[in-house]
Amino acid sequence: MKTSILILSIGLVAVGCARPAPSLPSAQTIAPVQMEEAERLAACTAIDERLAASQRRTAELDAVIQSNRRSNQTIGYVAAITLPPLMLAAEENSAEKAELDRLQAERDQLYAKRRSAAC
Amino acid sequence: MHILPRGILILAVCFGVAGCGSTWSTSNVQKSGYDPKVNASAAAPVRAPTPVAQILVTEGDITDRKYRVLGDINVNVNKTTIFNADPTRADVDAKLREEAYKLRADAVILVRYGSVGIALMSWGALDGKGRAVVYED
Repeated sequence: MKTSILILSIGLVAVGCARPAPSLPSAQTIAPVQMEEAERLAACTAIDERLAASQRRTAELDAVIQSNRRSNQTIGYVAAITLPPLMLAAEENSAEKAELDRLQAERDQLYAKRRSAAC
Repeated sequence: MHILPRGILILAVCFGVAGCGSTWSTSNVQKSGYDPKVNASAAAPVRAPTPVAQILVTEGDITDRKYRVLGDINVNVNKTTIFNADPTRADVDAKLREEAYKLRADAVILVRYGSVGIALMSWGALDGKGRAVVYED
């Protein structure tokens, strides 16, 4: 009985976990960079395109994680009631979660650039 | 004899589930030290706080208005029972707005979300963070 509870606890911690929201960037003041209007517009367009691409990729990764959510929950319920080792069959999506964190860091840098370019 | 206790148990569970809200949440605010009420001046007098529904919540930054940072908000929304629907980003936004209102903020910027999954105290938890700001103009 104690072993089952231990396995269940480990399983709950190890699989199907919620991904915490990435940390906020530091609240430092970003000084605007002086640049010509045409240069500024080009920089802003490039930044916005990269932001849009990052958001598209984020939506794709979210959809992949979400598509496993129902099966992960089912596995979790069944494992909790009958067979704790079944927890290991749940999909953790570690690679997708790591990429989501990387994309958020990339967007934070792009927002900082956007601010310094006064877009 | 055997049916009565089981019936009472099922009834109790049903009442327990029905009595719960679909989500419950926690929050943590790290204030910057600036308070629009305390730091009011002749140039920037105290004004009525922005209504909760009008507080802007955005994943981006605000570049067309000057603002001052009031603090960083971290919220966590959890579904109450295994039978409830998973918490959504809209639930996180609502909680961020609620906390931002307490700080007298006009907007929550740089909002980011976690991914729904199992947490220590819930079968479905969603985490969100954002920076509460007040406009200076």
